[in-house]
Amino acid sequence: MKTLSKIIKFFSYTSFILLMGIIIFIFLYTVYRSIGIINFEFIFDSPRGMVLGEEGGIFPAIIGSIWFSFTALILAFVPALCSAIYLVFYLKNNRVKTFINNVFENVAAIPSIIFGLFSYAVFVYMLGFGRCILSAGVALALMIFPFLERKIEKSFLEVDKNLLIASYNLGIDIRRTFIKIVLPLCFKEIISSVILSLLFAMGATAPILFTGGVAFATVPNSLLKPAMALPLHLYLMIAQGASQINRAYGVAAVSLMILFIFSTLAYCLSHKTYKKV
Amino acid sequence: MTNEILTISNFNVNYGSKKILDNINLSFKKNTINCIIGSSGCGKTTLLKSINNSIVFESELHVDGNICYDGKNISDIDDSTLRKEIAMLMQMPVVFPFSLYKNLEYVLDYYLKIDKTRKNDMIVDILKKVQLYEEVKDDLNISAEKLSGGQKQRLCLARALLTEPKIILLDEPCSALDVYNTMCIENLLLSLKHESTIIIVTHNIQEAKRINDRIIFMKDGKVVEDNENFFENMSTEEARAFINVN
Repeated sequence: MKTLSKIIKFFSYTSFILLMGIIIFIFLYTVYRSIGIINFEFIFDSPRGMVLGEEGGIFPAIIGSIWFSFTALILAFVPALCSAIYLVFYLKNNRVKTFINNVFENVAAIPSIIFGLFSYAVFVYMLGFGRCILSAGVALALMIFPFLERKIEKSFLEVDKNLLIASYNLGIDIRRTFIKIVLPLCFKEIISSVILSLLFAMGATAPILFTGGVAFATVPNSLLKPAMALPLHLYLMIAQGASQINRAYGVAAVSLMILFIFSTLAYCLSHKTYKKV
Repeated sequence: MTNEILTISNFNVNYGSKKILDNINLSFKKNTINCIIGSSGCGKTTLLKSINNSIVFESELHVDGNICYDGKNISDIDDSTLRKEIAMLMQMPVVFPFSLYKNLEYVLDYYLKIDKTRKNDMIVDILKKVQLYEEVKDDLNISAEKLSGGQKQRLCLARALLTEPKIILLDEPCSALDVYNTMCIENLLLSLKHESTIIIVTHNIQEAKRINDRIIFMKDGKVVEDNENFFENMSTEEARAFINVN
């Protein structure tokens, strides 16, 4: 028993160190390769050059990525929150609950390019929206919806059931109990789920490939226009050959910085709000 | 005008093929303290939960029979209204994760639209009523989770009393409390019986002796004895055996 415990402990520590090592290596290597690339012009200028991106910057791609991910988040968040509330607090039939949960789990396993294909068929082609941020946002929203819903549902399920029963035993209805007790307790978790989903959408390339992401566009000013996106720009730069590779690392480093900024913002926001409760 | 506030008739609760409550027939008079005793697992808590319909939170239980509150079947009463009229305190006091003041404000804000001054007065009054005010008056904003077990139980009682319940259900409220806090709760219940009907599940026979107007003894999901002079005149062998062991 003692030997088994030692083996488990050894593998836990080794896995942790290995994983952290890989993550730190990727981060530092990306930053190292982007030294000399990231400057004011790189961040705030548009891409230029004979081979697109060999000069100028990535500003339209940064703004495009933010548009894509926020559109997806807005489209996915409300249905995800409402589904989670319904499944946890209102739906009493366990069979239906299990069925819906299975559907969500299966949707989560669908390759993201299929959402892109769906959105292309329905929004770009059938409804005539064309390749635009909205069409891509729908594809991304479908991709992040099950992830977001499961995370929010899990946070609701983690609330001590006795608190809910104590509130119901006072004659207080589900709506009030949810707003005053469940939501404050889950707020931190919901915010972190939202940010994770946002970053998940920001990093996806396949769903925007045929629906709204383009190789070049100006900074978008409408949901009905196509836009550049950081992961797509990164993919196109690498596809264009070795001469672009250092600038591609610059794009990757900027993506990591955006990720870091959003995570920090989420932490500060949820921490500050949670303290007030 | 009938003096009965609650009637339970032909009431059964099953978990699969297992009978948790077996053909319960009881009625409860207004302004009385009714103690339910019996060994663990005999269905006392299930009976309490059935009365304010919080049994619906337990999955896979099959319920049939009638419970009438104030002449109306509880299935015809909206759950929120029912639970406002029939308050329930659990064995382990559950306080909400905010301050003592806000625990009480939570209930007041739901039922009443009153100004801050009136709200403060009501909170002070209810804390005095449950004999908690003197202990906490200097810091009503203390987190309710930091209170002692006895204080938490009295806070839960105060919170429940704000809904002005006609019936108070208590599931072993003193099981985790010291003598001082047990006496506090018992005195409170004796004073509250002038306003409400009290139905209390207890394992403490001495406590039941001190406060009861009537004892209901249960065994294996059945009411074996229902007696207003239980300790003087037990009519069943099972009840005598239970009291001798306890």
